[in-house]
Order: sequence, then C-alpha cells, then structure tokens
Amino acid sequence: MESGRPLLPVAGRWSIADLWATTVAVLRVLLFDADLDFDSAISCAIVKMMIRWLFVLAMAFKFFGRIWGKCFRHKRYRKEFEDLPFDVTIQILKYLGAKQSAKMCVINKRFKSIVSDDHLWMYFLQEEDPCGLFAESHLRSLRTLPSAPSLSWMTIYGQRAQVPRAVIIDGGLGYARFGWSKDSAPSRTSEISLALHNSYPVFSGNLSLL
Amino acid sequence: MSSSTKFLTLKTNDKEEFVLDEAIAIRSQTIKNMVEDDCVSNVIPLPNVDSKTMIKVIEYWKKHSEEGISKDKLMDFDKAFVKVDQSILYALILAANFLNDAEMLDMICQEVANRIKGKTPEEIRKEFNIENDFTPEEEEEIRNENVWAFE
Repeated sequence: MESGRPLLPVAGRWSIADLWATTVAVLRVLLFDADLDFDSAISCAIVKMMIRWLFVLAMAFKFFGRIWGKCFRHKRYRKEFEDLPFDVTIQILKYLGAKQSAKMCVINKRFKSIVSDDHLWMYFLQEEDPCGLFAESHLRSLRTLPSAPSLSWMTIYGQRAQVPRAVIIDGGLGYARFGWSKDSAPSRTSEISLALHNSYPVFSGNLSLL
Repeated sequence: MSSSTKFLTLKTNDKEEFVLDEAIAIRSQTIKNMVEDDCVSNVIPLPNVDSKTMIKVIEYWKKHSEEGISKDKLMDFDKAFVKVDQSILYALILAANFLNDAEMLDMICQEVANRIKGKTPEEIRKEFNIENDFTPEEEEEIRNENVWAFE
C-alpha cells in the first residue's frame, strides 16, 4: 500500500470484482503479512484475473451450496417440533387441554401415538373431576354390564365428554347410584333404569357415601 | 449472595465458554447436582446446548436472578423472550430440558401451546412444518373416533 503499486484501478469504473480483489489483497497484507510485490514475476493483471475467477467460483459454490442445503439437509440443521422429547410434548399437550389435544391425533402418526398416552388422559380426567379418575380406575371392574371391553383412557374421557353430567339416584333399592346420564333429570324408576343402561355408571355405593 | 462469589465455566457443544456466577448457574438442576456432587473440575461441558441457545438461556437466568425486579417486568421480559423463531424456541426447550430448569421449560411449553391453540389440524401442520402421513380414509376414521373433540 505504501509504495502506491497499481493494485487499485485508478482510472475507469470500479466493478465488484475490483472491489473484491482489492479487499482480498488488503486483507492478505493485513492478516498474513503477505508481501505483494506486483512488479516482480507475477503481474498484477494475472493475480487479479485469478482472484476474479476465484470469486466467481466462490459465489457459485455458495449459491449451489445453499440450494443443496435447502433440498437435502434442511431438517438436520433446523430444530423441528418432532425433535422434542416425549415428555416435553406431553407437557405441551397438558397446556393445550383435552379437546385440542384430541384434535392433535389427526396431525400425523407420531402425534397419534403420543396423544393416546394413558397417563395424559388420566391427568385430564383428574383435572376435570377428581372423583372421575378414582371411579374409572377402581369401580370400572364393578360394573355389572356384560362384556365391558377394556378401553383406553382417551376413549373413556371421550365417552364422558359426550354426555352431560347428571346425578341419578335410585332410591328404591336402598342404595344410590351416581353417574353420567344422557337424560338431564330422570325422575321415575323406569327412566332411571333406562338412563343407567344408556349411560355410564361410574359410582355406586351406600347412600351414606353421597 | 455469599461473600466469595464462585464462578463456573460452561462449555457448549461448539466449544464456546461461558463464565457464570455459580448462584445463577445453579438455576439449572443439572448443574446444581453436578456442583453438589462435587464432580465439577473447572469446566462444565454442555454437550446438548449450542452457544446461540446458551446466550438466550443465560439472558433469562440473569434477568430472573435480578434482585428486586418487579413481577410485571419479569412478565414483560418473558413475553419478549419467547417471541422468537420456532426453531430457536425448540432449541430453547431442548436446552431447558437438558439443563433441567422446570420454570423455563414450563414457560416455553406454554408458549408452544399458545401457538397451537385455536388452530385447525391443517393450520397446525402448516405452521409447524409437519407432514401428514395418514391416508384420507385413516384421517376420517380418527376424526370419527374422536367426534367430541371436533364438535
């Protein structure tokens, strides 16, 4: 730089390649202590041409590299929802609430298997109705209905969600039943048994328990 | 804070080193356990966290360890903190999960849930870049199984 060598294009317009060549030359001097003696064997023009071609090549590599990265290696670098561990996803589903969580089932297969997790639905059941979980887990086996299949907790939650809550009291037999009914207010015995049949008895015991 | 402030050096997976006050660093249960078990030499390696994420995490820790900071201010900070690109959010979740900082993990999970809330499955797939691997028939069947959720 000190000797005023013909490194900079004094006359004429500055192209990007000129700027690049200059920058590279300056950086070489500054960073690597290179001795750029352009008056010696290698002429300035050749060096500049080489640098220009290097620049073009570098740009081409950069451009194609970016396309390559976008097409093939995109997922490896970006973190995706599906990279999240199981328990974190469950945590997110808990914040979403039961209804939206159930909707997540149709997203894809992985989500379906996560959403179907029994513990998640036991949590939702417990949240909604503290008795519900106990009733479903402990009294389900006491059900007198024949051929009660073992259901997933998600199905159980879904069934409960579909019927409005109502208390059914069967006073005639000396004990009370408490459960989910499709009838909002059954009053007579016949209706009660009908309601019980259609509905979802979740608790039965002595009156004193109520 | 104790009179002699101890500093820990955390080394992320891209070989960056962060020197941090021990009182702040033990917000991470993982680091706390390491310190308590006395298995810390001088550098704690964090193989699951990169430096970009660690900078955010430390920013969060420092803000939440400030003395006498009001709740409103912290809320504002948290709100601004989670307003980031999704991939950064996931990186933060993974970091919080690895570092075992329940408070931070909860906050970010809540944010992801907020981003999902009220969206249809199609919108969620688009937003989170998730591929649908069900056939239309399979999808219809699942919808029918869970009618109550789609009402």
